[in-house]
Amino acid sequence: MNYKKINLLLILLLTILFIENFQIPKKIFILLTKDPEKRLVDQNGYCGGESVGFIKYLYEKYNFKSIPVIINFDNKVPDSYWSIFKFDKKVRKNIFENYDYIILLNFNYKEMKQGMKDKNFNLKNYKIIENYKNCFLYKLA
Amino acid sequence: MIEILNIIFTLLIFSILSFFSSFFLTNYSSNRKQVDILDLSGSSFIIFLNIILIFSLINPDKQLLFYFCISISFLSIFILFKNGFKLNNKIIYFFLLFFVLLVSIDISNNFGYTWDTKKYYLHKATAFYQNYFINDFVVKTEYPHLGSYIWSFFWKNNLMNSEYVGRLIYGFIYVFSIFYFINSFNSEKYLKILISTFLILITYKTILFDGRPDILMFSFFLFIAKYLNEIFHKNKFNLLNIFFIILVLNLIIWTKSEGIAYVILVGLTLLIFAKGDLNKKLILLSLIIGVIFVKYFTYHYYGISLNPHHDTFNIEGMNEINLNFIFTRSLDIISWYLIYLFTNPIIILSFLSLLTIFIKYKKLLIKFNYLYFFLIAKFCILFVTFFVTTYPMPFQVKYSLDRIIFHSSGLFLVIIYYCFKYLLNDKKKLSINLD
Repeated sequence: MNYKKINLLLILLLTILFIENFQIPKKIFILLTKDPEKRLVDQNGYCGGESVGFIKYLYEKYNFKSIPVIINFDNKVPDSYWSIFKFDKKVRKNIFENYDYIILLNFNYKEMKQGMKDKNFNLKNYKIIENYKNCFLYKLA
Repeated sequence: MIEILNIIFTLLIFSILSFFSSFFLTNYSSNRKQVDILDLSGSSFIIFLNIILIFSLINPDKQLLFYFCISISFLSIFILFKNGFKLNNKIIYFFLLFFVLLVSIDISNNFGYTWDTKKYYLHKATAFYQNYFINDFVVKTEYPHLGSYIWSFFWKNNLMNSEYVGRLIYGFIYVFSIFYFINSFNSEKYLKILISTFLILITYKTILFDGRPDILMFSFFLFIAKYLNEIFHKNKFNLLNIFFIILVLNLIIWTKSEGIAYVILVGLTLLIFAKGDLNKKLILLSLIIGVIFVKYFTYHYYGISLNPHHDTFNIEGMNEINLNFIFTRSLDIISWYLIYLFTNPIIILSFLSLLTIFIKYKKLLIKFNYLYFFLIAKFCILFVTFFVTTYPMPFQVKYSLDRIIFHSSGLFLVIIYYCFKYLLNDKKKLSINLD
């Protein structure tokens, strides 16, 4: 076998190794069957962690005029505003215009009192309008 | 199916854009009718990225900018064919596109962003997507914007308007830089493809393509490695190579905060070790100063902090320094540096090659003086930076040093190449003697 054939064979081998290692056929199948939003939610969770799925669901259903307050009680993850894919200077400065709605993520009733105190929030005037496990949407009554 | 077609279409666009300034570059080709497709499109792509960078400082409508760039690129390709240029190494370019396709499929399935992407880079890309400008950011304004800008540029200019399509450009630049660098060696075509494939296999990680600019730094250093190879190993310290090194350094300084240190380091390496007349070194020095000045002038003009990293360089942290602090911090930095240095696959292979050179070809060791200098000088800068950081330690060093070592690791690939070249030459001589 000459050099060219050996090289070609090795290229083929390494390419197969790459395809196998990074599960390319499986990923092509996912590309064909799931849209980008579904893939985003699959990898970031519906309710838990950053709860991207729950936020996306609320955005589609309620079509918020401005970004609502999102309070995540899971301290191990960064805030979830990135998942909205909308840049808002005020939100980046933690200034919110829309207090009509509040999204609470990973919210546990037992820890509610202390948790809300820490976040300087009072839910007295709000009512729950959406709930999935530990994720809630509150609306100003 | 639409998404796969969109990916292929986007790759086609990248490929066309990589010929952006080829009509102008063919004037510098040594052979008037034959050009290396990778050489031509690589240099042309570096110019294209610089054009995008310049426009990012003016912030025109991204769709208009896209139509402008694609028109120029089509015109370039037309002029290329009209003048009867024959493109060499098309098979290498075909493999390049094939690997970009594989990498793109992987990137399009990756939505597992890392902390920094969620906190800073994705917000910046989203802001650019909505036509905000560099002085509109609220958090980490001092972080350079080039990565996020090109991400948003291709996010905006594709058929689907999906965020991940913008990140495909990172994959294209990564694969392109590997093939471009390997193509600069004098080897047989299929061997170049084989080495490039191997390099992709050992350096590719899905998580690197989540939007952080580290993979761009690695790729830009591979572009630099190509030109350093020309200067130090082919004795071509000419104005054209200086011009392209400056263009790549300009990209680096606008990609990550540590870019400023890299610009100074590469500049010093060239000024000390390149063999050339004083005039060229003076031109190089003034261009380096120019690159740094433009960035700092722009930041000053738009009221962005000139401190490259607010959380790192904070004068208040100096009050904590005592003997115990010096000892524990030094130990942290040195131990983590060694751990990450010897877990980087390129560094391991380079080190083994250097060991082989030391044993078999001692005379060759002197050829890499500029790399030893770069490695030691970079370590000194890292040491000082991590020493004064106000971030908690060893957390800071643990979660960032591996990426910083990865940035410039491509420079050391040249050691592996020369080691193998000499070993193969020895083998050939031996087989001739036996015959």
